[in-house]
Amino acid sequence: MKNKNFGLSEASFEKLVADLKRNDTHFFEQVFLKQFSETLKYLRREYRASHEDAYDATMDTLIEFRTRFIDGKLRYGNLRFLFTKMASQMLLRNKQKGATDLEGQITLIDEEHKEVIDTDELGRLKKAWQTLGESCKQLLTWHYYGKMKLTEIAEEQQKSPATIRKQKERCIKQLKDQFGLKTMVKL
Amino acid sequence: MKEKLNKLSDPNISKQEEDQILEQVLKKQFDNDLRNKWKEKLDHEFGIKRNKNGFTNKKYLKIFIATAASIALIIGLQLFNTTPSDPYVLAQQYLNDQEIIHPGATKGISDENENRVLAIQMFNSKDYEQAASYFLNLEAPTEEDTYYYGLALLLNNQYNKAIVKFEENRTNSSKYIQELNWYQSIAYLLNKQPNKASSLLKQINNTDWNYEQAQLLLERINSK
Repeated sequence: MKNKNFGLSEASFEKLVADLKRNDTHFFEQVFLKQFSETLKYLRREYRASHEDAYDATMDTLIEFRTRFIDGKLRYGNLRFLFTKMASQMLLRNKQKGATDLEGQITLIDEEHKEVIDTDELGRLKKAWQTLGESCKQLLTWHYYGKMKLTEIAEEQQKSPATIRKQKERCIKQLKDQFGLKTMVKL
Repeated sequence: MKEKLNKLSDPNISKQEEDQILEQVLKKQFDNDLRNKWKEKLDHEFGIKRNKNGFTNKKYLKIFIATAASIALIIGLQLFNTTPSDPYVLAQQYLNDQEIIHPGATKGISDENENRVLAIQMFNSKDYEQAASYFLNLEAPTEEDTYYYGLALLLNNQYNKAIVKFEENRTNSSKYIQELNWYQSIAYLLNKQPNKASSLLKQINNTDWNYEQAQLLLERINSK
C-alpha cells in the first residue's frame, strides 16, 4: 500500500495534509518533487510529449494535487496512479485547451482558474498584502489558501473563534484599505 | 479577475462574495509563488530544468536518502498521552492553556463608555475580578459584553455566576454558541457538575471548536 502512495503511511498522509493546510509545503516537496522526473519521463514516453510540455503538465499536477489535498478530495489509496493519470490529463488539457473527465475521478480546473488575470491589479494587491502583519498574513493564508475553518485556526492558536473571526475582519479591512488607497492614488 | 478585484473595494460587497474573491486571488498568487519556488528547487536540488537538456540525476540519491529518512522519522514519531485522567484537572488544564484575549471593541461602537474600555483593559490584564465588576456596571451590555463577562467570572473561579451568565448569553443569540458550549462545559466541570458538563459536551459537533478536547473530557468523565 505504501508503494502505491509514494512511500507514505496513512499517518504520514494525514500529516502531509495537515502541513499543507498551514501552508507548510516542506513534506509535500520531499515526497512529490522526487516524483517529478519519473512523471516527466512517463509523459514523454507515453504521449511523445516535448520536455517542456511534460514539465508544465507535471508542475500543474503538483499544484492541483496540493489543492485537492487541502480540499479533502484525495484519499489515501493509490496516489501514484492518480498522480500519473492527472499529469496525463493536464498534458492533454494544456494541448487541447479544454478539460476532460477521467474515470469520473479527476475533474479538472474550473473556469475561474482559466480567467486572465490582470497582473497590474494583482501586483498592487500583493503590495497591499506586504503591509499586513505576520499574524494577519498567517490567518488569511491558513483560511483562504489552506481552507482551514476559523474554528480550526482558533484551536491551533489557542484562541476563541470569536477572537479569530474579529481578527479576520480586521485583517481584511486593512488589506482592502491598502488596496483601495493604492487604487485611488493610481487614479 | 480585474473586475473582481475592483469589487473588493465595493462597500456593499457581501461577506460571501468577499470570501470568494479573496480565496481566488490569493490562490492565484500563492500558486504562482509555489510554481516559482518548486521551479528553483527542481533546478538546484534535482537538476531538472524546464529547458531541454537541463535534467541530470546527480543529486537524486542524496535527495532520496533525505526523503526516506524524513518519512521514517515521521512514521516513527510517537505521541505520548500526558493528559490528566481526572476530568476536573483536565478541564482546569484546558482553561489554563487557552489564552483568552478580548479582541477589543466591536466595530461600529465608537462611543465607548468608560466601563467597557476598563472592562476590556482589565480582562486583557488578567484582572478578571475587576473586569467582571466593570462589565457588571455596563448600562447597555452587548452580546459580546455578556459573553466576556461570563468568561471573566469563569476565569475568576466564580463558576456558578459564570454558568448563569453563559446561560443568559445562550438565550440571546447563537453567535457565540460554540464558545458557550465549550466554556459552559468547563464551568460545569469545575463546579463539580459532571452530568451537566457531559450533556453539554455532547452538543459539541465534530466540526465545532474544541471537538477533540470535548471528546477527551467526555471519556474522562465516563471513566470516573
